[in-house]
Amino acid sequence: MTIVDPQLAKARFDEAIRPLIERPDVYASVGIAIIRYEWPRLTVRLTSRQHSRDLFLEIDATDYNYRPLSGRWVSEDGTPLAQGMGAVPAGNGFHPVGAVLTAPPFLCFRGWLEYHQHASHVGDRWESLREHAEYRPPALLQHIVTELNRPGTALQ
Amino acid sequence: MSTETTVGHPAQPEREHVIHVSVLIDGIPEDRVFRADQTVESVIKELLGGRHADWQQYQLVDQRLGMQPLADSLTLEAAGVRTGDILAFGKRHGGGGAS
Repeated sequence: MTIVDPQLAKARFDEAIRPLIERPDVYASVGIAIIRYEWPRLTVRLTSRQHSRDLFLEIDATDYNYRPLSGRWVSEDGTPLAQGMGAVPAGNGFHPVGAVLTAPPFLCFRGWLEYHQHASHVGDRWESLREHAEYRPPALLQHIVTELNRPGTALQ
Repeated sequence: MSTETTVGHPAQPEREHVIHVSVLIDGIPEDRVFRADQTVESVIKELLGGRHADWQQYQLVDQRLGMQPLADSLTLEAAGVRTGDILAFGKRHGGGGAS
């Protein structure tokens, strides 16, 4: 069940990702490229130079920006990945498993749904962040690429 | 006693060497011009504007040069930044703490 009218959420999200579409050359140079976009899911390729490989993140923008974006690691064809497949980041805020062992990997960073829903962060309200530029999709993806390439981030 | 005179053009002010780059600020590219002899620290402070008291929490990365942040004490020129480069500007540590 959605909370926000899908047309409104899509319009907001389309506006938020416009820089990624209009300046693909700039984002490619920092390791970010859009692969697929079928509302409400956007798949991006993120390059980890320290691991010499590309990773694929599927973003679910349902209810944007009433709720934050949700992200999950997938293969290039969109199959969800789990720990043990050698392509799930771990460390520096990347959690290779969820709060319970059967839960999928998640992004433990401000601005992502799984972070704000986690028991440790429910007091860090998305409502107070969502209008800030540093929590819009281009900034969130830039942050993820930076963290992917930070020493201490492994692939599991 | 001999005297030497040097005949030449009057001293010309050395043309300031500048570097044109794009900086990703909050994920949005902005074209910026910096002096080549400007330190990374001063660039970070300039990008932060009035909130530069916590400048040490921020970093600049030039992916053409690698994924490590540029050393704060180096000038852009010494760090290897060139015109046309794209710099990523952001916080040094942004991970969450959930476990």
